Amino acid sequence: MKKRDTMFSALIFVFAAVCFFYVIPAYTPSVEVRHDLGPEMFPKLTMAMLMICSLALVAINLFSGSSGKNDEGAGDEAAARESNLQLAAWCKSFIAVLFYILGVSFVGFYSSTFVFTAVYFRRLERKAYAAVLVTNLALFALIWFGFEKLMKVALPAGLLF
Amino acid sequence: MYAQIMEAFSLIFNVNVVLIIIGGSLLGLVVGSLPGLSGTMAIAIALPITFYISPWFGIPLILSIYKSSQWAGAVGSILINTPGNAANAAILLDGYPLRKQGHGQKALEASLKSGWAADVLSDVITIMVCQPLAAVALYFRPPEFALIIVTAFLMIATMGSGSAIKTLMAAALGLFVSTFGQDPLLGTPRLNFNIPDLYGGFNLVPLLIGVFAMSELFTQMMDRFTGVARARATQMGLDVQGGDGTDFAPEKFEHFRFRDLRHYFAVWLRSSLIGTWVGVLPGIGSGVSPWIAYGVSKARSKKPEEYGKGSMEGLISAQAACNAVGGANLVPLIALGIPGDTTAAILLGALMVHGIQPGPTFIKADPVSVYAIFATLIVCDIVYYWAGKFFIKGVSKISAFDNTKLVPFVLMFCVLGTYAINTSLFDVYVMFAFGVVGYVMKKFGYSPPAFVIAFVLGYLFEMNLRQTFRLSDGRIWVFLKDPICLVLFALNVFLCFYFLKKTFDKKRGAQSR
Repeated sequence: MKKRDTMFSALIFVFAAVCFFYVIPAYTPSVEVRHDLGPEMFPKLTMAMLMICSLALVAINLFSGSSGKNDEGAGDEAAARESNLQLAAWCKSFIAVLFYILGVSFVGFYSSTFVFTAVYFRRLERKAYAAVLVTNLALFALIWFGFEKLMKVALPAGLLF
Repeated sequence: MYAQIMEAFSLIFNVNVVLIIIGGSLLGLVVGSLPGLSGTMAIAIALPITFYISPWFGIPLILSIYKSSQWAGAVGSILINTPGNAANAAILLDGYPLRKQGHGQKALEASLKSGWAADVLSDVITIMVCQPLAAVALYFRPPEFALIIVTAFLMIATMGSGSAIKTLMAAALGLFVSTFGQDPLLGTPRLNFNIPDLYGGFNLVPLLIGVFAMSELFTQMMDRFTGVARARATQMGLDVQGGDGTDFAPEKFEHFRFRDLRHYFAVWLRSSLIGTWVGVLPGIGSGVSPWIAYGVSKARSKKPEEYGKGSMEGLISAQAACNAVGGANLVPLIALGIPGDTTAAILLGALMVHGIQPGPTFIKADPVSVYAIFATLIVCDIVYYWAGKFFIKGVSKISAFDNTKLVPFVLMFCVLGTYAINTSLFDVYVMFAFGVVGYVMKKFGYSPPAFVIAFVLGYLFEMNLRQTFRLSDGRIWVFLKDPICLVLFALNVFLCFYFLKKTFDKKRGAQSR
């Protein structure tokens, strides 16, 4: 964990440095007003704070010993397998939500939500699965009435609906 | 005066107005509890209706939505880790862990009762000392506001149960994200990457939903996926570590009674007074008070280690401060004509449409209207408490659900709530991106609440700080010039030393163990 923490802190340092030296000056027009800190100063201060803190974290992790060792015990095969499971699950979750959100944009809110729900609950037994889908359709009716009819919010239609 | 009070009461205490208040309270409860749909949105929808009805139907309608939705935001925070606004974000710190431990209903009842009692106290204070309080608030200028925001930041430092450096880093990132869009003083574009949707900066609601709700959804989905994979691996005879993939205890359906509140009386009273005071300050809004109250309560608690892990004291502290802002927010509106937050601004609009002009002369010139507003506050308090009680009975059943089974529905409402604010898909993408950020922050022990509150306060802090420097020709000792500044400065120095001492004590304790 400590090794990962150190690497992550180093990554934050790089991010803050890139923002400080490149992104902020490039995307903030410099305007000079008397007795004003200017538009660049505040974001730069925050990034400077981030750089100092991330360096401090790296230093603390390096000097508090055992930084090179993996605290979770790299030799433990079961732990490694669990870690792989977690990573795979995270990737699956990320991709599933990403596809759902892209689906809302390109296919439409209702169809994308229906497909997501159907896939998410695919392991349920038939009766419960049918109940979930019916609940979903009932919610669609409520959402259509509440959002589209009452509040006049047109939900993303996409290619389908 | 007696005749004026009776006239005001006759305007409000009649069947039609009470029915309108009941309707408004129910609307506020439903809309306020849905992720992303705040009370402000419900009020904005109801506002055009008020133009066509008598002001003494319209104003109670708006106030009832405001009051009930302010508490209802806690429902989403406690049940599904999804706050409706920045104020409710502080409630999830302990509300959601309590629900995970099987105390969902108890947490909901505690939040209603402590919030309601704080609301009533704040209303009574508002009614009693409206004018003198507003006069004191007038002495607050940019240096004082900058210093009070620094106090809020110092309180943030106490929130994280983990590393103080990581909490500070999360706050720095939140401040950085708040600078996107445009310069608050000059109006020049800043860090908008030429993306039109970013010209105004990031919206608060997508960021809130992303950091809290989406990151939690990722965790829930991971629990489900790892649970399935773990079962498959076990079937294949492989050894894997970990539990059954879910860390939710079965719901116990316990009750929290008013007499239970006496155990937390000091915390409740202190937080209510903090909320009332922050509410009186114009322009600060309800987003700050729960965090300050939470920080103070944690610093003074006998069991600070329980904060953030399901502390009833923490929940009551945040909820009391959150609701106490409700009544006090009307002080600057009534006495100075300055709205304290967005809702107060909408209310100001509604009053002005009907020819009622709040301001320094309002109380003397139109006392009947002022007393009628105060009477409305009292009726709204009574109605929303009972409406809230029935509402809890319905929604507390959700806490018996396995959260992994709610994922598609919560995700759907997150997308809906985010999209409906500006009918913009960009906000949905922002929510997703901040969901990833929130998840990574949680995974590596950075404090998501510190990130969010720094984002909320960033704009105010930068504006007040820069205004201070401009008004004082760049002289830094302006912060030590007048008595209020001096007191706030001394308080901040004291807090710095106090927290440093606490950090070292904690470290020394860990080393000695």
